[in-house]
Amino acid sequence: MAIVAIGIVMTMVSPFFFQAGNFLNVARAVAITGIVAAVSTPMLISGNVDLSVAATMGISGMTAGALLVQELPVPVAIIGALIVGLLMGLVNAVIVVKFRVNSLIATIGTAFIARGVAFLVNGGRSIFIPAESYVALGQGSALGIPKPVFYTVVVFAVIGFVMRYTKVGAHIYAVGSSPEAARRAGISVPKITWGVFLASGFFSALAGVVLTSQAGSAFPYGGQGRELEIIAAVIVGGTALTGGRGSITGTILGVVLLGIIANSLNLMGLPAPYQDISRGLLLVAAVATDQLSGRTLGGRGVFRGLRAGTEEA
Amino acid sequence: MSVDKGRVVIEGIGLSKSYGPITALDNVDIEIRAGEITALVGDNGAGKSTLIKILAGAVAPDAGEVRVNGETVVLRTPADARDLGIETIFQDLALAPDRDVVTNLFLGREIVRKGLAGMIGMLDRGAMEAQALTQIDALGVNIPRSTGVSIGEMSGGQQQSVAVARGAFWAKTGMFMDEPTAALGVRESSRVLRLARQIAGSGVAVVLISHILPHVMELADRVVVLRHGQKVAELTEDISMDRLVTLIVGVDAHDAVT
Ligand SMILES: Nc1ncnc2c1ncn2[C@@H]1O[C@H](COP(=O)(O)OP(=O)(O)OP(=O)(O)O)[C@@H](O)[C@H]1O
Ligand SMILES: [Mg+2]
Repeated sequence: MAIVAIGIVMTMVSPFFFQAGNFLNVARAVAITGIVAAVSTPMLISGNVDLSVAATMGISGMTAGALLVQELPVPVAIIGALIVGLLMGLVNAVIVVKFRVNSLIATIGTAFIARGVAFLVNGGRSIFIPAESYVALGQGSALGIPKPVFYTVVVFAVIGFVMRYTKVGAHIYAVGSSPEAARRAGISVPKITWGVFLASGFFSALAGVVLTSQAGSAFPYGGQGRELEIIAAVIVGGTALTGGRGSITGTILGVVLLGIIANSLNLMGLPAPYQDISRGLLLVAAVATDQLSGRTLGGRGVFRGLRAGTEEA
Repeated sequence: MSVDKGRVVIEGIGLSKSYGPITALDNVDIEIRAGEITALVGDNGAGKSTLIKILAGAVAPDAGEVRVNGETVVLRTPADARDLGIETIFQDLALAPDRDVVTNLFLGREIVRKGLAGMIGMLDRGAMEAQALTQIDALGVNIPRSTGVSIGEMSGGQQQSVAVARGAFWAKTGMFMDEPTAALGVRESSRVLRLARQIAGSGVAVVLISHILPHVMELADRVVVLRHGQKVAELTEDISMDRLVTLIVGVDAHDAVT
């Protein structure tokens, strides 16, 4: 019950934490990370990892910015950004499936390439976005919740549904658990791999769109460094880097927990480096707990018990 | 199910397979009959698993062909064989360790809901659980009835029982069991063997690979002996321990064919 414990500690430390508006602050702060963490969950469960997600956010955001500067309609800019994301997924899938390169290596490679290209788009400069209707997509509220949070909730719901209730989700788990068993059961491992990479590219691009609309500008370094934060959130949430295990519920908790810690440290007036340190400590502690006690028990990660009965489908 | 006992349903003709310099299987002919248990015996490395894998679509032969119900078939994957009603319990089981019994029983053949929900691939978990539990009870195999327990958290014998239950559940034409009792206790072994009988009794052609000769003698309608990748004997009667041992190790040169 780490999340409750941290909540209690932080309440004592900071009288601000449990104010109504603060939950929304946390949610707003983790929204974009959340979108990518959501799609990184099936990625990790399938036994792969995509480290190009942050670079995809950057390059797709720059794509949207570049198209908007050309005064193309907003939907065109968004579709353009999403296509770039899908292309990233496609390239990653080709490298992993056809050339049998380990996904970690493949996506480190494509991350460098995509980041480089993002810098070339506008000579390394960021792009101010002139279209107000685009900027409005990432700002303000819908149904009383900040729009980015709204998108994140929808993405979590969709991916959570697929993983838990559908055949595709079951096949993703099976492939990650034992590719050979899956193959012999007639499940196409390449198809699943293609699927998770395309989804990863798509939703990372969506996160890039939300990021740029929120900021009102596209930055070539948009999203930089977030990939590690995202993977950390997924793993803290109990998803195994080795595949086969994990859940969207866990990832939501992981994202929120990391968000709460950052927020609390903020409220306590501690600067950013301390947030990094605490993130690192939490990640290591979570995985160490998993190793020591989680393996032979039903639940895993720091949310053992909390997730009982909700894990997987 | 109609039991046309004795009809040849699965045939291997001139099957050969080499792994580099090793000849795993050398021009083997085999006929597997509905309603019978055909035992496949031979020393370690004799080629038993290789033969089964070829018939199950897990390994492609270098030469030879496979016929099912008289028609030549090309089995590219185990799924191809499965589509023909042929189930295999591989020596390495082929279960997804992080998933539970129900999920494994229906792996790759999940039941989806009716209507729109089914079109988006929504699982009918309830139906799968009900059928899985019925199957487990019917077989009397000793695996936890509770759902949500990962296969990897079960004992080796329980895992083997799950693999057997899955094969039994789906087998329509043939069922290949590669050392299905290797990890089992006495009680579980006899359950699995009784199950093999039961499945054969329903008209399925069963192949049983086992090193435990008393089991073989007790159960098999027919025993095929492999040695160094070659078929050295096929027995239907006078199956004695001495005779089998002699054929398996090959000390006695006269290879009997009954
Ligand atoms: N994938 C493979 N790669 C290389 N050699 C193999 C492979 N599979 C089998 N062999 C070789 O082929 C021969 C036959 O192996 P097979 O597994 O069919 O034997 P087996 O009769 O099932 O033995 P056991 O009783 O030990 O299971 C052995 O010499 C084995 O080393
Ligand atoms: Mg073998």
